[in-house]
Amino acid sequence: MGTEDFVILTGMIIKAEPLGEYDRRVVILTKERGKISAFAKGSRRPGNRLMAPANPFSFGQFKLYAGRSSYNMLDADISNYFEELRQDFSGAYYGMYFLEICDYYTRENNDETGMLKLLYQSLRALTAPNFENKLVRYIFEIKSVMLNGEFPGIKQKDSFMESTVYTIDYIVKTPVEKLFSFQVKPEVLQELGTFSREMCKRMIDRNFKSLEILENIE
Amino acid sequence: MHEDGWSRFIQTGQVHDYLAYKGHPDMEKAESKAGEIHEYGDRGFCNTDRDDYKSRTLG
Repeated sequence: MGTEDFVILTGMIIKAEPLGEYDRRVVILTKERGKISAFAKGSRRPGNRLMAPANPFSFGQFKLYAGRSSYNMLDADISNYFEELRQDFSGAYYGMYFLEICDYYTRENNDETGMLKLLYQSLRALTAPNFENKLVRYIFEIKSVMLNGEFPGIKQKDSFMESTVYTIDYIVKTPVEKLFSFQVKPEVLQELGTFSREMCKRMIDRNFKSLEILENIE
Repeated sequence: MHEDGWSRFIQTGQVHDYLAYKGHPDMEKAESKAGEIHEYGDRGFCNTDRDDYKSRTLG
């Protein structure tokens, strides 16, 4: 194991599943190498240093050993665990839904910087008290479809209020860093939801487990 | 093997796992699994069938 085999990647754990007695297999959305999967050996042993980092929502730097066919997580320096989501039942489901969408859209060795930024900013907005979770969800849905080059445009502009059309246009054109800086009226939020739901139904050919639960608790 | 409550919830996405993680009182009984066989002291294994239990202990 030479030093050249180690890589340090910035990213977020988007999925974790148990493996064997003590291990986990995790999926990390990284800035440098897109979506990768890695083994976190011993991460289910009490007291193991990878126990907390190998959980979904952990964002930071991951030290990995790049083997021939897989990555092994050796260490992690986590800057944000998004612990606020643990206290917020619906916020946790919104977060899980965002992770599922990221898992759906991203690929290994693609440049997924945009999706990683969007995910991070959206989770921060979820934990902020002055942001409505539904608005965060619609922004995330529209922007993630747009980032993946599938945004269909607004076909029936006449069926929406002018403010709604302006909001959709703003979401599409604004960089992710400045995206979560506005509020909308309840009627605009409702129309935004109608537009986003229709768009997702057409563009995403999968049912998300967390979305089904979200729709029930909303 | 160790799996804390939050990891379990985030993996399954099930509402009852969230309640168990938060220590909801209704979830205290969720420790055992369906079909589990219990051993009662020195009386050997028995299921919840009362007659079977009697036949073993009184017979």
